[in-house]
Amino acid sequence: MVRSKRPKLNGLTNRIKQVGVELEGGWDTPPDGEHIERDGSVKFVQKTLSATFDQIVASQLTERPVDRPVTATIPVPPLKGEIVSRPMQPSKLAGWVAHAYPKYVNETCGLHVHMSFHYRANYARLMVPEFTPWMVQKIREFAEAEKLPKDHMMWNRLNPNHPWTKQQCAHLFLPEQAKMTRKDYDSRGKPYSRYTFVNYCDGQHRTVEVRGLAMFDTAEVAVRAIMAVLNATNMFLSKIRQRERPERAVAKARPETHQEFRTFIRAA
Amino acid sequence: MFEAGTSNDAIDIRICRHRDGIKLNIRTWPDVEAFFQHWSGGLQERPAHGRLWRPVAADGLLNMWSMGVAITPSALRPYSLIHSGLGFTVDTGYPNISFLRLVGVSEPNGRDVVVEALVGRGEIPALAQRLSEASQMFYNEYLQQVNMRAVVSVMALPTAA
Repeated sequence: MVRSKRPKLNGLTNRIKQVGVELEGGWDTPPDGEHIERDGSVKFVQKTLSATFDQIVASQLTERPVDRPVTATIPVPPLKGEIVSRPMQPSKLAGWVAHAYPKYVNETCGLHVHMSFHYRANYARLMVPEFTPWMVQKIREFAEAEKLPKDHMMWNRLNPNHPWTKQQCAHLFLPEQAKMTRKDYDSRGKPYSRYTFVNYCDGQHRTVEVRGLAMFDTAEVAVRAIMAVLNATNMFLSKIRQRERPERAVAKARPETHQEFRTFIRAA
Repeated sequence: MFEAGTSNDAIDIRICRHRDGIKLNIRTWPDVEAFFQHWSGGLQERPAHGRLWRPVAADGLLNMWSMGVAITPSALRPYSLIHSGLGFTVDTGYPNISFLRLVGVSEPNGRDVVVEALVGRGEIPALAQRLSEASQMFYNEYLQQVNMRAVVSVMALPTAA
């Protein structure tokens, strides 16, 4: 038996070139070297703490510098939005996620995974209606293995009929997405809507984006969720066995045609 | 050019999946390439409108006959011959068959080019159909031999008895 020389990831032949991750949530301060970008979908019920300086120092917000008034009012979380990673090798994921993971998460926060590929053919192989239900099923298996609580937002995202899912990560296959060259925040309901469980954002990033993950309580669970997405993708690509048949496009020549047009005029 | 008993495929494009996109092998009759060579004035160029084309061989080159006349796509001519280097569809939605201008398509082995376009699995037959229709329209309009004869006759009126 000839052993494959292709690199492996989690025991599977790896066809993914690089991975990018978007983490949504809230932070007290930006992680070192990272920038928190605005994301209108991330919503926290704003809490404020009003107390004396000493009481606030004794609270959880010890990381945040506070001037010394008698009382202070601080929003919780102070910063919210999303942090977008640079493209990286899958082996570097765990370290970056642990570094940038938000302190505050809730049901409005999502975890998006972008994957790029060495060959266009692999991207094309994922642009089939069967990939979305495959990914949903594999993430469901992950959630069951993790024994996520029944009220965890992840279960709602796996339910195609949930209102949040229909709005943010619909279980639809929309290949027109690949032609879009810029984000369209008003694309819901259109044939190129970006708000699907799997978004083919080739025209913008040359990646396949899985938008269906929720944020988890800890970075470790999030890393396992991202690996579940990568493994599901590699497994799907490994399953494809049937080669596509070549096609022909021809233009045929016909025999010469002869046309004759006659008209008569009266002699003067 | 048409001869009974021979293949009458004036333009033959073979389409197959390539790891970097879609590979085309284009073979045409000599009069097809002669058409483009004539209107180019002998000038050649590289693909100019996009960067999605690349030769199959790593050190290969893609030379094309220049387009000396403005054959722009329109409703009456729903295909493009000028958008070299772009994918299979131009902005207006018309199919792009500008690869017919490649130098050497009339040689026995034709010319190979890889188009780094994203074509979903199972969409290659539909792509082949579109390219076939566009190529046929081009051939019928510019290369199909048509002989027309217009005859104007003068009819003398009968004289009164």
